[in-house]
Amino acid sequence: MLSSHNNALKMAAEITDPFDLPGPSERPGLRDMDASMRCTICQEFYDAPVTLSCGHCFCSLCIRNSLAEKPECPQCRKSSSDVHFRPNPTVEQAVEAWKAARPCILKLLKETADLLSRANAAPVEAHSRSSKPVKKRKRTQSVDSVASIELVEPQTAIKSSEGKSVREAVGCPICNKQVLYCNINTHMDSGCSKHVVSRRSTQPTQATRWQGIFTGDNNSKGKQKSSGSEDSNAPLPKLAYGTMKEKAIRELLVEHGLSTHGDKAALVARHRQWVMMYNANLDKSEKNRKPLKELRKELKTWEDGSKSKKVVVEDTVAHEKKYRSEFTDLVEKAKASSSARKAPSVPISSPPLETTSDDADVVPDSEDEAPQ
Amino acid sequence: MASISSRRLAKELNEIHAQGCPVGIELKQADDFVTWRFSIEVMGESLYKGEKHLLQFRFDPSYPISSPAVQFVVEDGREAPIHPHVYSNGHICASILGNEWSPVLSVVAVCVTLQSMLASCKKKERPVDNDRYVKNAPDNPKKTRFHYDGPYLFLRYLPATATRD
Repeated sequence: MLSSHNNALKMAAEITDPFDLPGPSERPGLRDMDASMRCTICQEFYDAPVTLSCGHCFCSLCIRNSLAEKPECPQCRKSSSDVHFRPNPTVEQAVEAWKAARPCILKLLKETADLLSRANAAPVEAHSRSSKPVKKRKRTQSVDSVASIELVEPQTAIKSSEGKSVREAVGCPICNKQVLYCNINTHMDSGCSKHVVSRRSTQPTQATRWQGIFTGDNNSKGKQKSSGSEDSNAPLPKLAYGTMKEKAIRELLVEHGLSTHGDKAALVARHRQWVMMYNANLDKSEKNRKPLKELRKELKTWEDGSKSKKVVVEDTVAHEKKYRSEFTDLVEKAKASSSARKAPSVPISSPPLETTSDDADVVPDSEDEAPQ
Repeated sequence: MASISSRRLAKELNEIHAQGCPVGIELKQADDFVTWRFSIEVMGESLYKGEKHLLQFRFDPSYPISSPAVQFVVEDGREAPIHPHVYSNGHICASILGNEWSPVLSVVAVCVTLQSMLASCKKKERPVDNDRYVKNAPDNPKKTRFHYDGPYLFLRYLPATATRD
């Protein structure tokens, strides 16, 4: 109980929304700015934003989930599918910048509010005069220095052949891939093929660079298997699970290092979610992509979360008494269906029928599984 | 890690606390991310003047991809409003709660839509198949396949964010 309460507290602390910022009457634009950086499905900051053909933008995973349910844009209801996706690195960049700026803005707002309230609360002239000017000078100084850095930077950047900056990875303005600063020109001259940095970290070590060379970077030796798949940019295809044997799906899961626990429905759900998460990850710009290990972990938390909470029965005897009639009913049904299965009229190759009665909402993948 | 649905609901709740609900709609209960209750009242001139009804939302872990289960509360002397698309057990036949649901809709958007559904009603009557439906209705209205026919497709409602630009 206590831990769940703690979780709730933690969640409240970690959730951000546009209402953290002052409204338009106080600070025009700020709250709207925050809102426009958020996906309208999950209300979080865009994660791997993609644009549909109608122009509306969502997190890749959100819209993939939504389209799986219904093939239209949730905002304007124009029909859409994932072949129309365009990753939107511009929005991704803007969101990153805003996420970095947000705490500073909140802090600044708080500081000014504090200053104002202090100034109002303590009208003693001498006191406020002794403390205020010092602060003011500090701030103007820092503002000055920031401005001068910004002005000077473009010129010094060319000169700065000393130090680390040359060895630093920068994003190519054409292909958006990471390239060492000293190689950027030859990279662009080569039509964006040479000198691409393959690692995820922005500060490469010698070792990882050598590793990149030894493993052959873009050579498709490992193909889809093991670590080789981490480098490939090809999205995973959607599959018609209905026509596939359980064994084939199991093999696919093994190929991606995923659990093969559960019945066919569970396997299919797991693989389908994996394909969505994997492809959504590819919609991020390369430096933001998560390693497959992390994706696997997320898949696991998704699976744990989507399972309906188990009802814990404490008093088993009372439970049995209470539901006796339903139990006997179910037993009767099970007997009947097992004898029906033994009967010769049933085709031999038919997959095991599930004994669900109605529950149309529990079987979202019915169209894939229905060819019988 | 908090699930997507509870994070999203936490944000919606935060917005309600920060901005308040639209006129005539009041948050009555939101102790968890499973069941919320709102009171709903039609403002101005309408057939439902002076009536106040309790609306219940139930969320599953796939919210907002899947719609919430919405119905009027009919217990403790409360009754569902008499309307050609509201059954006497509280179930509502509205397209945005079924096949017209969109994950960009929110709890408040649903409340506003149902409020306007009541406000625009011309004649107070139950659905024609009320008795038949109520007799066999499932507990969860989402398990019912309603037919959204005729003029009620206008219930399609897009939130203000759609016209933000």
